[in-house]
Amino acid sequence: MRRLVQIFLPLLIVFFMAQLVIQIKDIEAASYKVGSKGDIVKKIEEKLKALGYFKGNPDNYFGQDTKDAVKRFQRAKGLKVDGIVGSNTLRALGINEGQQSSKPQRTDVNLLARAINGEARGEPYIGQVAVGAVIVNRTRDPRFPKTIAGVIYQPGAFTAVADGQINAKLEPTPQKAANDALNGWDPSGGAIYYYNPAKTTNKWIWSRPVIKRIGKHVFCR
Amino acid sequence: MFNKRSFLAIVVSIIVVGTSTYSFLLYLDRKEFRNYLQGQYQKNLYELISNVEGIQVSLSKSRVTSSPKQALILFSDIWRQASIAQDKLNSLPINHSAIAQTTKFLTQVGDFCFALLKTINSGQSLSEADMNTVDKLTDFAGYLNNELHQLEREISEGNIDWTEIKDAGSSMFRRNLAETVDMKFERIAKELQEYPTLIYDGPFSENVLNIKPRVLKEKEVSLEEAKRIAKKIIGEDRVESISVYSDKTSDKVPAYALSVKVKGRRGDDINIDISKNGGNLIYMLDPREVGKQRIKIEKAVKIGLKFLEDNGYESMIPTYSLKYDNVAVINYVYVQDKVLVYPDQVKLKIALDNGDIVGIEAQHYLIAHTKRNIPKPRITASEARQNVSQKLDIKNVRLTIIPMESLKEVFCYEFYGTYKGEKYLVYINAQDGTEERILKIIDTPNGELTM
Repeated sequence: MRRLVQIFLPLLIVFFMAQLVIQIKDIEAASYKVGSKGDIVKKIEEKLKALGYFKGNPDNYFGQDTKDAVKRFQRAKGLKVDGIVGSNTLRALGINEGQQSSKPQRTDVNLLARAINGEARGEPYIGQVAVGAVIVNRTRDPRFPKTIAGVIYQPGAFTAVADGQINAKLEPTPQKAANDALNGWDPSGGAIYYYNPAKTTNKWIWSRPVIKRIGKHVFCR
Repeated sequence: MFNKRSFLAIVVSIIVVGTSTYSFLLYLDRKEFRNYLQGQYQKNLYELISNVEGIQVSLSKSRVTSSPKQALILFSDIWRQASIAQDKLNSLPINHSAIAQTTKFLTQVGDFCFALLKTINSGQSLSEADMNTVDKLTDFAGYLNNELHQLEREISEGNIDWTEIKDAGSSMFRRNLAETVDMKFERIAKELQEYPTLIYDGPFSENVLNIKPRVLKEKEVSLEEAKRIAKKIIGEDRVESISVYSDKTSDKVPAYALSVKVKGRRGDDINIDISKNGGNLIYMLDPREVGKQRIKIEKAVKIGLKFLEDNGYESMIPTYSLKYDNVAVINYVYVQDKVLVYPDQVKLKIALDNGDIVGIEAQHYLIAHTKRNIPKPRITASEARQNVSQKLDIKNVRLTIIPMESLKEVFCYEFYGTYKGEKYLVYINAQDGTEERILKIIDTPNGELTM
C-alpha cells in the first residue's frame, strides 16, 4: 500500500506539473544566444555596456564577447550562468521585449508580421521577408485563397497557426519584414511553398522544384 | 483515530477521485470543443455545396438568356459565389495538394465570369467562343456539384468526422479517413484538369499566369560578372567580400543570389540578387539597424534619384513615399515622352540616419520595362475631364500608362482631385474616354497610401 502511494503520488504530481508546464510553455519567450541578431541584441549590449559588463561597441549581433558579458552579468545577479539571455535575464536587464516603436497601420501588415514571427523568428532577415513573400505570392495564385488571412489560416498550411506560435510576442524584425514583403520585395524568387528539410517528412513537398535555400528553409514552387 | 493504513487509503481515494473527475471534465470539454469544430467544418461544407450549386445553375441560365442586363446579374452572381465557394473549400481540413486543382477551377470560373461581365458592361456582346466555354464550364460545375453532394451524404451518415481528419496521421484509422477525403478530391482534380484553358482579360487568365519575362532573352553573365555588378551597386569601397547565399535558383527570372560582407560590420550581410540573363538587379536588402532620423524625406528622395541615374535607371520620377521606423520607402516611376509609365517602377528603401540605400526592389521594373510605342491621345485633357465626376475639384492632370489587373497596359489621363477634403486619382482612357479606374489616397502616419 505504502509502496503504491510512493509510486503514484510522485506520478500524479508529475502529471499535474506537466499540465501546468504545457500551459506555460505554450507560448514561450524567445531567447538570445551566440549567433542571434536583431534590435533586442543591440539593446542587450547597450544595457550591458551601461552596466560595465560589456566592453565592445553595441551592434545587433550576439557574439562570443556578448556571451562572456552576459555570463558575468548573470553571475553578479545570481541568475543561472549559461550565457543565454532568456526571459529572466531580460527582466533583470530591464528590457521589455514588447516595446514597439510604431504600430503597423494596415491590418494585413499586422497579421503577416505575426505569421512571420511565428514561422521564422530567428531566421536571417531575408529569410523572414521570403516567408512573408510566400504568403503574399499565394494570394496571387489561383490555387490558393485570395486574402492574407485566408492563406495564413488555411487548415494545415502553417505550423505556427497549429501550435499557437502565431500568437507569440511580436518582435520588431518580423514587422519590418512584413512591410518589405507587402511593398513588393521577394527574396524567395516567386516561391509558394517552403519547408524546413530537418523537420519535414512530407514526400510531396520534397518533390517540388527548389528555388532557393535561405537559412533553415527551402523555398520552392 | 486514524491509523496509518486508513490515512493512506483516504489519500489514495482522494487522488483517484480527483484524477478521474479531472479527466472526465477534460473529456467533456474536449467533446464540446470537437462538436463545435465539427459544426464549423460542416457549415463550410454546406456553404461550399450550395455555392457550387448556385454556380452551376447561374452558368446554365446564362446560356439561355437573351438580355444583356440579365446576363450581367447572372455573371456577377457566379463571380460572387465562386469567391465564397473558394474560401469555404480552403477552410476545410483537407490536404492542400488535394484541393489545389478544385480551388484553381473555382478561382478561374469566377475571374472568367468577371471578365465576361466587364465585356457586357462595356456594351459589347459575348463571342461564340466565350459561350462555348460557358457551356463546358457548366458541365464541370455540375460534375463538382455531384461529387460534393456525395461527400455530404457520406458525412451526414456519420462516416466522416472532420475533427478526426484534422488530426490525420495520429492513428491508422484516422489516416484512412483523411485519405478517403483526400482521394476523393484528387479524383475530382483529375477530372477537372480537363476543363478548357481559360484565356480572357483577368489576373488569373492562363496566358497571364504563363508570361515569360522578356529578360530571359538576354545573354547570360558569369558569376564573376554578377559579383562585379553587385559591387558597383553597393559601392566599391564598402564591399569586403561577396559570396553566394543560395545556389539553387529555378526562379521565374534565374538569378545569382549573393551575400555581401560590408567592411567594418559584424553580421548583417547585404543580400542582393542579380539576374543570370543580362546581369540585372532584382532586389537588394540591407538588414542593418537604422538610427535616429537625421535627414529629411526630401533629401532622401534626391539621394534616391541620384542613385538610380548612376545605376542606369534613367528618366525616373518619385511618385510617393512611406516612412517606417526611420526608413523611407520611395517609389520611382519611369517617364517616357512625358508619359508616366506606372508598370516600370523601382522601390528604394533609404535609411534616414545617413542616407544609405538599404533596399532596392527592381523586379517589377525588370519584367515590365521596355521602350514602348506610345500613341498620341485621341481625346484632349478637357474632353477627358467631361468624363470625370463634377464633384471632384481637379488639382492636376497628366498622361500615364497604368497596368490593369490582367497586366494589360492602358494609356490614360490621370486626374488628381479632392472631394470633401479627401484625395482621389481618376484614370480616363486617353483613346476612348472610358473611366478605367479610381484610386483613393489615404493619409496614414507613415505617409500617403493609394488603394
